[in-house]
Amino acid sequence: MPKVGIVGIGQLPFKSKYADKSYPALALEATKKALEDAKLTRDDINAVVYSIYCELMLRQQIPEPIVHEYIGMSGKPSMRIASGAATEIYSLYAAYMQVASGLSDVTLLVGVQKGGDFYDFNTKSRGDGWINAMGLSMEVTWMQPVGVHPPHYLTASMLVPHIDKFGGPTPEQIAKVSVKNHKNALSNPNAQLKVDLSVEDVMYSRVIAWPTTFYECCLMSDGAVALVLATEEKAKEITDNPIWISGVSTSTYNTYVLKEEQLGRVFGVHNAAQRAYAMANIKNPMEELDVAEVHDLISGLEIMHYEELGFCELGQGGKLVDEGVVEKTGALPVNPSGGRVACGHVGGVSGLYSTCEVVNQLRETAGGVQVPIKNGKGLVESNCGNAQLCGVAILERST
Amino acid sequence: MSDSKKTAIFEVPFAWNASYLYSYGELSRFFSEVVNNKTLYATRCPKCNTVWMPPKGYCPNCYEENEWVPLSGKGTVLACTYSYQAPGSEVPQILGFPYVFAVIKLDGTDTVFRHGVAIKESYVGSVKKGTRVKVVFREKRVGTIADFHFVIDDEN
Repeated sequence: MPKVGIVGIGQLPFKSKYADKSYPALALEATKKALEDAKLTRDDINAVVYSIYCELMLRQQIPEPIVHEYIGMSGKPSMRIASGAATEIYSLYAAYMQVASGLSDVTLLVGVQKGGDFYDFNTKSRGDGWINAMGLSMEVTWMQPVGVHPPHYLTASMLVPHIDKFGGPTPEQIAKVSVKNHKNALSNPNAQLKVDLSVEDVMYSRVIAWPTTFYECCLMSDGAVALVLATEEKAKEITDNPIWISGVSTSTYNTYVLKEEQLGRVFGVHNAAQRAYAMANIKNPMEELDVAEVHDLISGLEIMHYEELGFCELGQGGKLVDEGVVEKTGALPVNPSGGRVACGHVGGVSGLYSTCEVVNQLRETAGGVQVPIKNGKGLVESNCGNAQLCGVAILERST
Repeated sequence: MSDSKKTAIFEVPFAWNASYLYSYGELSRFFSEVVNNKTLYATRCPKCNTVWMPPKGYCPNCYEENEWVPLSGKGTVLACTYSYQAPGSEVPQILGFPYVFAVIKLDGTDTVFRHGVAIKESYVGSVKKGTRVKVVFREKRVGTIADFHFVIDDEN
């Protein structure tokens, strides 16, 4: 497999709303940062891949030509991926293929999404307007009328049956993950929510879908991110420290008709991880990985991801939390950025933000969120609302 | 751009207007039975005998055209959560809060069905793994899954 390197990254802070910037302007800011980081100009870019999840949220169908024009790429090839909150790794997969195939030797990957413009005129709430509209991302005939909240589906179909089948995690362990991520976000200048919480603060916050509480649910953010990907030859010309995409895969799983054996599991993440590990020749992720950024749409799901990603046996995820393994100071820090619950979350951006975060970690330029790097390998995972779309990527620095 | 930086943010109200006369296609039978006969139907693959609920018109394993089978409307809760908010969703607005969002195995089916269980006259904790439930249809039915929900089945 030809090598593909990440040679430039540009991250914008997550905010509840960028009222002062349109989505093409956010894309431009992120692109500018990524090009500066790579020390390239827009003329060096051969093609652009867009990670833009939702048209409803932008109030615009077919948004990518508008961004393409805005960031000065007119006439160059473009393609857009839209796969819910897994759009990011699905688009990384597409950009990887584009470069690996030789169709482009320098590709720009841009993720942008706003949702903060939604507004419910009855309740005078942006959040209500957002959740209401986002419900249309669910299967609309059988799922959306019953409950539009991903926390409902994830809690009832995955977390509760997981606790039932495997005896954990406990409500305390779930709350500890939220506390960890909120603490990590305190050192991240790009994080949207900075609050220092105790386990009690989290456990006794408002119940959203029992046992999932308010502080165990992800944020809703506006954001943008950009990455420059290059062939091995180009990457080595551009920088002394390219970060290689050594494994990437996706798995799209049942969404609205589930078999009983699916309850309590996230098979999509398991499948995608197994393929990405095989590609990156990773045999023991716990031993080999230095850092992981995963999709904590609800904190209970983060613990289930430890298991599906093979960091431990099924049912043992809670133990990793109790033993501090996933803390910034632990053997395998997970979500040092603060994760979706504290750093920020919006489909199309978060997983690529996480990718940039792992690039920063492997370059050892992550500032306050830096964790120790030994083997030079990191993992990124993102999945969609009901885990029907899952993606995993492995990043590696040159040894 | 320096002038525009001083300009206050300008916002306008906006709403989409997309309306449909939507066809359920090969799944039309399910909704016509709900509206006309207050009966839930699943589909069965004539080749592998898997009973699909929610129904699928074709078996994804065998590619056979499935047959319709009536259900008793009774089932068993496999897992559930108690929900305290769900803006925009129809079933929770009808059931009130907290409502039970449940994963239900309907009798005679091979897959799981997710729907709301009303607990208005009961208490939090009254629905759990193993609770028997039965379907209740609304008086006015329009042909969506919000035309019915589930309640605790006291008989069995």
